[in-house]
Amino acid sequence: MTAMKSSITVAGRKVSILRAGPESGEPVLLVHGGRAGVSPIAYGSHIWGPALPLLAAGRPVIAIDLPGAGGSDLGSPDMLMAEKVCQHLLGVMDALSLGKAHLIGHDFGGYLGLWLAISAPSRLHSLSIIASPMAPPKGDGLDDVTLLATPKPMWRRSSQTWAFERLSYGQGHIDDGLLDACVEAAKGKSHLDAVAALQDEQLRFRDFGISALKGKIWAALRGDGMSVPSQLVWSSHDPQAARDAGYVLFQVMAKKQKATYFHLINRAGSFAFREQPKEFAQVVVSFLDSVDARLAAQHT
Amino acid sequence: MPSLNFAPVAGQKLPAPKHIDVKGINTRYYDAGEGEPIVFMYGGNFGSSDSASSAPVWSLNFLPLSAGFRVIAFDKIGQGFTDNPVRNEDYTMASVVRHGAAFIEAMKLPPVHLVGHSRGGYGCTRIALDYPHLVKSLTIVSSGTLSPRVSPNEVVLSASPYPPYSRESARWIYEGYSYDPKVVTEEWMDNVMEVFAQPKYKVSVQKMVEEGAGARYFIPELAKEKRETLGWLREGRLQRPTQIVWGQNDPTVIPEGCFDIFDMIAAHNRRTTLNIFNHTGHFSYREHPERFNALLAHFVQNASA
Repeated sequence: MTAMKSSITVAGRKVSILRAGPESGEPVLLVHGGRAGVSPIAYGSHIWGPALPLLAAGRPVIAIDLPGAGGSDLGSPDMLMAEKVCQHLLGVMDALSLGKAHLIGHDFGGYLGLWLAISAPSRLHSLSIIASPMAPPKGDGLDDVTLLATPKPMWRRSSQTWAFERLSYGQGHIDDGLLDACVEAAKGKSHLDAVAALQDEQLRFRDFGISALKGKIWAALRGDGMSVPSQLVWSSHDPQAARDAGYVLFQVMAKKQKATYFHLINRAGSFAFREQPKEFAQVVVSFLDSVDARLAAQHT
Repeated sequence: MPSLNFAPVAGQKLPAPKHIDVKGINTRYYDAGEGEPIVFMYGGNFGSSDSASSAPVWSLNFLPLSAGFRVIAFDKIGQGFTDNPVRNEDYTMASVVRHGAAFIEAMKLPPVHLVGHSRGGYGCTRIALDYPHLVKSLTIVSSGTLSPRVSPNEVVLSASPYPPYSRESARWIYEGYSYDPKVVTEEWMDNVMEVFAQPKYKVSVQKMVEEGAGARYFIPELAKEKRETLGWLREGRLQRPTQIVWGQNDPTVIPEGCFDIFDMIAAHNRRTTLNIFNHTGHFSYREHPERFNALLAHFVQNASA
């Protein structure tokens, strides 16, 4: 199976997308992680690697590049902020004629998915949050030192390799294909624009608007709760997305939504979909299948 | 992956049961479908007069999965419609494990994908440890018997306010186990009443309770073997793809226990996953059948590849 690269234009900005799988079936939208311009890895749709064909075995999959990542225009620095990115994602879905989709988000992408599930639940069949250190409640947590001493200059091949090694349990997935794509993404205009934008201390201080939305997220979950079937897929050895934090988020999300699930994948760090792709697909695709089965049962 | 409809269809009926001689024990089982063999082992134990497990408890999983797999649900020794142990000292989990393994051999099935719930989760784990050649993968569902944490079953389920062998008592027990009492269907209770109605079932209660086989053999032997089993897990003797499925709201099994089991197994066994279902008590496979079925189908397919 080959993935097809293409691009669309949304509100005047180019959006780069990677498609795989059949034409028919409930579509899956993959939202990658990373905070463009800050993360020592240049994320993008290339990150999904071996998971893409597994997820696309039975339904169409669309992996997008977020603004400032891969081949997608940043537009304005505001487009780095979580709430803006979420509005943009709805625009992307409109442009792709996706009324509803299964959203799978990794890291920052999972956080975006959580806010979309709360702010635009009618657009999601389901939500899968994969290893997201920013989605759970923080409390007075310790500072995260996983990537404290990133080798300079950032975004070179050696620096990105170092970051992947720090964030992964298994090292086998850190191959030339991955690193070539990440180096290319880092050199792209979109990523360079994001890096330049984040030279502004004020913007950096806003940290992608993550904490600004947190209060709204918890208020919504205290109130009506999740209406979208959701799962959290955490890993046994993720240095950033701790399992107890994920399990706490699961309990918060689970209050009023029966279809809420928490999973642990063994021998994986932040990239279970690359490090243990088959076990990842087992957990994720079975969830999508069960949501689709319920949809089909409701329609008959 | 065969294209399966994972959601149970109302009104589907189990096929007629079959019987096989397993080393002198007449054993009832249900068998349907073709493909990778999945063997289900339910929970509970012989000799309880307030509730009774039997193979049809898997009905919501058995029928949808039979479209893509060979599915087999059997009655354990002394439970359902399978003969009781011959000697009082055979009222033990060890004898349940031996019988389960002998059933798989008698059926000429191996290696199989074992799915065990509660006491059956312990039983299947023990089969995977003692008879690895019979086992291709292991699914452990909500097993307080295997959990190293204390299980508060007795707090929730002791001293049923209803008479022994009554429908009301069984309903009270299974509702106590469940997050949503509505999952305890009349069809489920019909199966319990059928088991209660057999003279041999009352004999097992007589042996376990009045003749003291429970206190003399079952409980102390299980305690010893559980210590051994947990030690074996920590040593890395479980060497088959394993998934753990747990109910977040199980009043009888503390959820932390599933993390402990995951850690013990995952330390040595790459293909280990943990799956926690929300708004789910002890019977995840009846409270979320479509999720359970899809998960099991994908797991079995991975483990067979």
